[in-house]
Amino acid sequence: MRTFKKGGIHPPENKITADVPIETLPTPHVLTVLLSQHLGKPAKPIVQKGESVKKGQLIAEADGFISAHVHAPTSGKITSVDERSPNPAGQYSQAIIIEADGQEEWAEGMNIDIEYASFPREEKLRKIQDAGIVGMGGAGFPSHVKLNPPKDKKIDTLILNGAECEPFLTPDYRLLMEEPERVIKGLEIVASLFGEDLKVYIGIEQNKPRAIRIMKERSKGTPFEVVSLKTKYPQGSEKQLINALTGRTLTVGQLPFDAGCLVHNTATIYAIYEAVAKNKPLIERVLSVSGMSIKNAKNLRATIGTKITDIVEYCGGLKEEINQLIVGGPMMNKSQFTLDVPITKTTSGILLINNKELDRLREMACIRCGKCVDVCPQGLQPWRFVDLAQNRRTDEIPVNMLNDCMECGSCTFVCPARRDIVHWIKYAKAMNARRKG
Amino acid sequence: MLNSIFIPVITLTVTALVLGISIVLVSKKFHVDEDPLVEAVVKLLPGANCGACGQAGCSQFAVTLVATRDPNLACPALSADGTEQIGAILGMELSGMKPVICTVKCQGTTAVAKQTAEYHGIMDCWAAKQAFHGTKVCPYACLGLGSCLSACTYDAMRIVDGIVEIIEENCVGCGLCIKECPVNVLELQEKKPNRYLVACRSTDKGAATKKYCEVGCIGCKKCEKACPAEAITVDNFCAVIDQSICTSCGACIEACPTHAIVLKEDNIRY
Repeated sequence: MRTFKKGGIHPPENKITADVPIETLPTPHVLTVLLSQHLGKPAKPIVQKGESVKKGQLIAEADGFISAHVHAPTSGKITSVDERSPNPAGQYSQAIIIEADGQEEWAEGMNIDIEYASFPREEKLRKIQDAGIVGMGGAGFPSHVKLNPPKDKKIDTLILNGAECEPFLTPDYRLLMEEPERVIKGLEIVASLFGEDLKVYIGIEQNKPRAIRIMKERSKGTPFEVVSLKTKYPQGSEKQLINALTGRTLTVGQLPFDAGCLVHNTATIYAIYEAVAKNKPLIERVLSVSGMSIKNAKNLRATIGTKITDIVEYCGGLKEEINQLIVGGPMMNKSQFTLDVPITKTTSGILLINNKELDRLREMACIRCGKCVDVCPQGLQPWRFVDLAQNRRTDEIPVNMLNDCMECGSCTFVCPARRDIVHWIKYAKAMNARRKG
Repeated sequence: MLNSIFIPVITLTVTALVLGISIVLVSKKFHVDEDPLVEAVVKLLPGANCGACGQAGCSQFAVTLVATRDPNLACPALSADGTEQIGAILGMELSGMKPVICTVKCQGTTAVAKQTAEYHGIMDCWAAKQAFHGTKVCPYACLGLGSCLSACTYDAMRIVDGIVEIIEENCVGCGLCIKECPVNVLELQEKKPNRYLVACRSTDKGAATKKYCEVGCIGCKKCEKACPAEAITVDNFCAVIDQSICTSCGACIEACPTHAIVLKEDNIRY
């Protein structure tokens, strides 16, 4: 069974929505479309208050090289372009508010079948850029930038990330089970952007045997290789996936294209298919509503900009009062302070949890057990970072090592002294950034 | 029997004498000639070794001052009297520093400022600010977790009801806390017998400010209109009082509808 060599943990999987088919959530009356749903600069609005827009219409332009377009998720009227809204990524962002008119009228030329087979590479990349596609696994890196690496980096391996290693989350799994053809077609589109000798892997964790079987069947006749990966967190992380499938290791500071590899999330590949084959911009996505405190855990296809309050209501409401609302997966994503926050292109899951142990979980002193070093998939020494950060000596932490930490949370998960290790690392990164600027 | 007491007593006495005499001799041989001026200056310094003067402690300040006789070298913790005394010893005039005191431009206690949520994490303001501006909904508010407190060597700060409070008798205006604040809510202001200031930095529109704090400045401009000396300007929905023009008449504090303006009675005879 292939897996990455260093570190990793196996948290309880809790995939309670694994067998729930995707349901479409009806578009709510008001949509809050954040201008920052991706890595890089927020998009700039190009519409005015009071303007009427059609579904899929461009309402905010990318600002700079690392940025992405934002489109209207439904037809309606713009009621604000500078609303300050909480962003599930953990800060506040500017947002455009759209009042839906209920017509769901598509903009001209969108949501139609396109003959894309003969398109040259540049045309396909432009359609991906125009559709505002970003990495939907959570990072939100603009896809057209990722698919166009610097000329000197030769890409010989393309990987479809079907690992979905975070507990609770199942949107990628359901996409693979319910719409494998579109995923395969999307993968073909991306593969056609690179050379003939491109090796394509479809990596799926072994706890999803049916998805592996379906993908193996549907990929017959294509040169794609479906690989079953050992269920280990964080298998879905780019560097770990590359190591597991190709054996290549990325050293400190390297990016996937330095090893000739390119990794894309399942939902992103699906969105790429819709963008190129149907002229559909990224305006909706599949996410899992899960956790022990939600009445009906579901997988929903939801419009971007829907508030979590509406989603929770659709899922039957809460069983009990919750003290944790997590957007994303429990290992890596952000806790929220209110249900009144909209979903974005990168929201893969909403978890509603009543964590009865929260008050008792206070940090104790580090006991130097070394468990964090054992499990760190990047081969770092988390205890050392915490030690220096706590003593306000963050400038003594080697910067490239600190930046290599992807904050996966494996160290915090195993720490017997309940140290907030990832929080200290985030703090150290913020202190270093403050020192520079 | 007497012998068994005699020998240890004699041995220890001799050892003590030998070591005692050695200490005296060594201290005389290796004596460091300290400038008596330096010692005199050190005696007049607060001795907190806070480093606000830029030197590595009070002794170093004294050494540098005696060596360079730089009139601009000042200890922020010294009163005007203290600076004069040091100047008198060295036969020079020291410019010294105007007496300043630290001010918190926020009144957002837990009673009046909306909280985002219960915060579980590292008890540090920078750490908390990484999540939705931290503990309070207002992005300009004091987070109340005490990053500034840890920098204060004069015991002049404490956290009360979720915001930081200055213990005015102890604050010497050294300024070490200022850069520890992630929201820039601390400011050094010159001491005045009756100092009026706007304890709020919110540049959000009035309606937005009112939503998250009962005592925030809403930019209504009532204080600007009420001020007879034209010392108040409201810019970006936040009022600022120019202390150099303010005559301490108190008209602004009467006019303010949200009680965002406060009065501080500084003890200038520090």
